[in-house]
Amino acid sequence: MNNKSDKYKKSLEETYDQTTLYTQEINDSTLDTELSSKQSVRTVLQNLISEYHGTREQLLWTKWGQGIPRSESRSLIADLSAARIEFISYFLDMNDNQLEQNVAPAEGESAESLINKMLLLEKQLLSLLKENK
Amino acid sequence: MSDGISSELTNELNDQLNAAIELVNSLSEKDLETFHSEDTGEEGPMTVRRLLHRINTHHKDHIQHIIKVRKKLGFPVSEVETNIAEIRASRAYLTSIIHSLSDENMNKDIEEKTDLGNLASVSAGENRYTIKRIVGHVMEMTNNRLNHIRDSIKNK
Repeated sequence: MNNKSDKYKKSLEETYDQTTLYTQEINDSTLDTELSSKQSVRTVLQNLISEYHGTREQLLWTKWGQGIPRSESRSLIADLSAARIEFISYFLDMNDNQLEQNVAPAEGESAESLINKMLLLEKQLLSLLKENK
Repeated sequence: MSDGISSELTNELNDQLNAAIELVNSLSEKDLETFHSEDTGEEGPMTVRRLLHRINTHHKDHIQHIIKVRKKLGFPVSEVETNIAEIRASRAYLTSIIHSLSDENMNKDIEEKTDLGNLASVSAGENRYTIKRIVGHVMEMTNNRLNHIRDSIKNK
């Protein structure tokens, strides 16, 4: 029975999606903006990241204390999710024209071609895992 | 085992790191906001904070660059090398966050009186739950695991 886990995952993801509407408006020049909590946008973001890291360890100890292994697989899948989200985050602010430009420092590649490369690799992973099912 | 050039570069990198640590250690939190220039191509001015951030991101860029080049040249980064890099990074983080602490702060009782992971709040010899004990615990567990690795390799 994973009812509660599923429900909390959904709640966190829904809240995250709502916050994304605002975080995608943030840029470097607005990081110092003071919020009603008297903290800057940078500080509230840094604090939440830090809370995630600290609370993640505590969460793992709730498992450890019950004899549930830390799990290399969970850790790997989490790293993969973080890599995907970081990748998406870096192209979300690019318009269509910027995505299509072939750029010399990137070995002549366009952002679009790099996104398609990752899409292809994701599809390869999907079919390999499907085969193994 | 490193060859001449990599060994020389490692020494230079370490010297530069030590100089960087000395400089950055002298900064206050307020210094991070200090303006450097209206750098072009940036969102907002280049501050001390942003210059530090750029040092980190520039390392990350070119770490990936070297990883890619090594793969292309036929001597990809091994899992062992990646493990060493990750352990070094963890150890560097650990030493960085205890380096400036006084003995008094290292020995301060956190007074939570609750267990933390597999670290009991109260040990037989030391009825205190301190940062010093947490670091000792990391070292002890690392030693245990290193010994397990040695045993496994010896018995394979």
